[in-house]
Amino acid sequence: MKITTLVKKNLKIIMRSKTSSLIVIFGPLLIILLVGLAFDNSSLYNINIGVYSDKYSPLTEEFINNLNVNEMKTTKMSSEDYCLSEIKQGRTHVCIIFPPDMQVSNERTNEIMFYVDYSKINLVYTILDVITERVSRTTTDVSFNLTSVLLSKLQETQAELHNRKNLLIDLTTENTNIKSNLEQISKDLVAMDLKFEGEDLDFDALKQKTDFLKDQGTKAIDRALSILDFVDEKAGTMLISDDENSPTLSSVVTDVIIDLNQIKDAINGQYNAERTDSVDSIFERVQTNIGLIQARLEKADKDRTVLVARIGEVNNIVDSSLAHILALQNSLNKINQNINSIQVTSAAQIVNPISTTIKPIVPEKTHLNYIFPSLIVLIVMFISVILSSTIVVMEKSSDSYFRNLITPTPDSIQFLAVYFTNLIIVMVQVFIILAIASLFFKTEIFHAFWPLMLGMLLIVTFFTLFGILIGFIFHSEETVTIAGVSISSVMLLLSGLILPLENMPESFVTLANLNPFVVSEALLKKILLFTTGLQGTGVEIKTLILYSLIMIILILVVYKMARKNVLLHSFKRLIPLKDKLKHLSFKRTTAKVSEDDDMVLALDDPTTQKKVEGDEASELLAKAKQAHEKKDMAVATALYEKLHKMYKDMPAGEKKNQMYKDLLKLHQDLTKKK
Amino acid sequence: MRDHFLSLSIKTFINTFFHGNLMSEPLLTLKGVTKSFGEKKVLKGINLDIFRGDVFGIIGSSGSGKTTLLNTLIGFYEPDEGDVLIQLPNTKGQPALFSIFKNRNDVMRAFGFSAQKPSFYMKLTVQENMDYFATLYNLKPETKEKNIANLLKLVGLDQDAKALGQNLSGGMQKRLDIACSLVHNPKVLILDEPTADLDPILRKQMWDLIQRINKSGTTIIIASHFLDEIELVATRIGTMHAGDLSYIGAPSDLSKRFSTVEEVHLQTVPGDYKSLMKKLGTKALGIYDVREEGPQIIFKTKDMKKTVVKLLGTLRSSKETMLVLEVHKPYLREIFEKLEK
Repeated sequence: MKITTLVKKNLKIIMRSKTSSLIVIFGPLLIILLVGLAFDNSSLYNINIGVYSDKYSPLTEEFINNLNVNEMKTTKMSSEDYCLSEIKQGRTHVCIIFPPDMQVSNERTNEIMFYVDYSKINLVYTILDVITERVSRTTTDVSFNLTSVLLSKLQETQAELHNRKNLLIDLTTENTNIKSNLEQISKDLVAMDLKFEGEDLDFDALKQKTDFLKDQGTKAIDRALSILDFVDEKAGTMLISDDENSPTLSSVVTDVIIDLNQIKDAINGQYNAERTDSVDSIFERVQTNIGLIQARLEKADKDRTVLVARIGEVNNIVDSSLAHILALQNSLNKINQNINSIQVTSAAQIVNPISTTIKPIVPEKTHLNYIFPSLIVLIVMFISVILSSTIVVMEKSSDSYFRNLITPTPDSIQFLAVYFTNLIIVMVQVFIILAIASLFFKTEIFHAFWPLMLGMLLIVTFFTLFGILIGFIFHSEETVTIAGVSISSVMLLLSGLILPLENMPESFVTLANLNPFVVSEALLKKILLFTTGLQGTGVEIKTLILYSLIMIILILVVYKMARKNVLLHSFKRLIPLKDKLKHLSFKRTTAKVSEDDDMVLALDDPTTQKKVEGDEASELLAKAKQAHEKKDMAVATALYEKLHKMYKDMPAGEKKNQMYKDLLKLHQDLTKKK
Repeated sequence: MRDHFLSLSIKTFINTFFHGNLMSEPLLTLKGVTKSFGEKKVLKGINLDIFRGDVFGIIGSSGSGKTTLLNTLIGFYEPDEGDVLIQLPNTKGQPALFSIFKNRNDVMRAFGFSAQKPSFYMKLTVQENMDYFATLYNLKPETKEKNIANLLKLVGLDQDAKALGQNLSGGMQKRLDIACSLVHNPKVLILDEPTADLDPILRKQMWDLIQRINKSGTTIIIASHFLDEIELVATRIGTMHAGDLSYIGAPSDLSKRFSTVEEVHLQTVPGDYKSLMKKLGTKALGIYDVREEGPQIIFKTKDMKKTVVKLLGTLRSSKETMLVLEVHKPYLREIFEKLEK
């Protein structure tokens, strides 16, 4: 089967090319090995969470503790801004801002803010899922606790009420008893005759009389007093006066006694007069009434004794009720205290004690905007690596390269020429991409144009140098293409663009973070998305410069090592020594002449005689002549070349001599025409 | 074809003779050059002088060290022992010998190299290629312009200056390649297989060109598997064998030294060579080998004059009409085969 022969030949050629076979076998092996080791798991690793709160409460700490398990690692940040800058620096994945002194209460609304980097498009939602799940788990715990408190208080209240149920029954019975007793007492009291007929007593008239007597008495006393004053005056006068005619003390006293008796008589007369008219009747009526009252009171006294006894019963019942009521009051107080001890009573707070808000660290953008830096790096990486490696290998494998090497041109100039060629081409492509992105997709570029240019220059420089290195290591276009694509693919796969780096074990993440693609991506994100300008990009810029310097050193080493090989390779290619030396060791009797051998050898060596159909040659010659006459020079030239080849294969002889002459003529014609 | 080579041979002889007067000071000197790769000694103390105006041909069998010698000559390989010196003007403008390994830039300017395959950029025009390589040699603009114009005329490409390299014919490409090698006006031009892949007419043109270049004062080191041609063009030839430069001398000296046999090529009509042989009596003439090659019969003889005279006499008395009668000295390859043995 011809096809199997062809396939075998192709495989042999590939396998016998060391670099080709190396890259064909080890390229995919390297990719699958690295990617397999890196992503052979289903969980996330190393999620760094920055947390910040003005004041950390126990609840905040609980949240943090719940987050700080397994693959997640929380770090308390010194400020909210620092927390956000840590995301921009790529050191943390999420920044969680807790409200100060977070507690669940009716008065407070707790809102936890998540700041995330949406440019990590394949990671952000996974992280949010995980963290939101953790937070909502804690929130559910809080909600559960709140509900539990509520329910326990309800249960306590229910138990208290249950305990006090008999008390209420007792109270009811007691109240019934009190009621019936009181009704009886009421009846008894109603039945009690305590009527007082006061209208018959004419107390007003009695009062008037009494007042009259009082006035009379007062007047009498006043008279007596005035008399006494008169006596006193007289007595004084008598003591002082030497007049024999002055009344004596006894006469005065006698006068006074007379006066006082008159007063006495007057009062008696008055009293007697009044007594006979009304006071007696009044006193009689009073006496009668008092008698009635006495009777009634005696009866009432009897009734009172009964009532006192009854009231004593009621009193006992009331005491008992009072005790029961106090017990109830205690219970109610207890229940009230219980209920008051529930801090959160707002239904909304219980159901959702903590709300979360997710915010991007940069203003909202489209997905293209978020992925744009990665996209640019991806394009630049593939273009730069493949283009520069291809240009280098094309130049290396070019016959002209040898001539370059033998000119007094320093290696550095040759190397810089390759670098600048690639730089120009890639930068033009970058400009076109940026222009399209800016015009059609409204990607914000111009706000950080110069930092972006600097960043692009560094990125293009590194990947171009990397491509140049590959170009110097490998020797054929297909090999450098496979190598470039393989290595670029590894960089891409280990960049977090397809699968998040956080899927990798820690050791791989450390390596992956050194990945030039990741560094470049971070640099462009900071410039384009986080608009930090060149501030905060120091690490990336220094890393890319360092990488580029390493590349330059490697290129120089590889170039120096390979230069002699390259020279020899070129030299050997340009001087096919084997062919030449084959002729030098020519043996007339045994040598064979290949198609490349020249005419002279063919003429001289009888063993090389091959039979060529003369008719075919004549036919071709005729066609060549016709083409020449028709001025179809391309066809004529092609036929000439074919004839020349046939001529070389022709056995020596007349035909060959004739052929030589014909060819010579044709050549002259063709040259003349040209 | 043979006539052409005869004429070339005469020209070369004159040229050699003429240049012989100039060969007073060696331009290139190899002094005890030894080079080993691992345990294998590839060059064994080679001593060689190449003179100004020389056309020096190097031949050698596979593994003889010819490649290594060429590499060492142009400074690619640094020898383990010995040195390669080139005569260049010193700071005072006086000729002095410099090691090619210590004066890389000067050496690169002193050498031009044209390999079997054209080594220029196919996607650049003739003018652009010339201009590019001239720039790499740091030529001043006016020198560059002048050199390019002169060279394009010399190689006959002045009318095709704007043609792309890929659109040139094989011969033109070869000429452009040589022009590129000469753009910096080197003292030594190394040509490897300059006529390979060319048809006879282009080969003739190429040899003419090489001679013109040589006449202009450029020393040429040439390697070609057209041994017959190299024999005609070279002023001196060196044969490499097992790391030794086993013989260095003029091609004619080489022929004389290694062979007394000459070939007489005869073509007659109707070509009844069997009867002719019978009449000729080969043994008496010192003819020790006769063979037919196509329309020709070839005699190998130790006494060429006697053979030719007898042959012409025999032809006159026979019915044969002579078409071609050529006398060939032994080809270089035959000498080389002897050397190898």
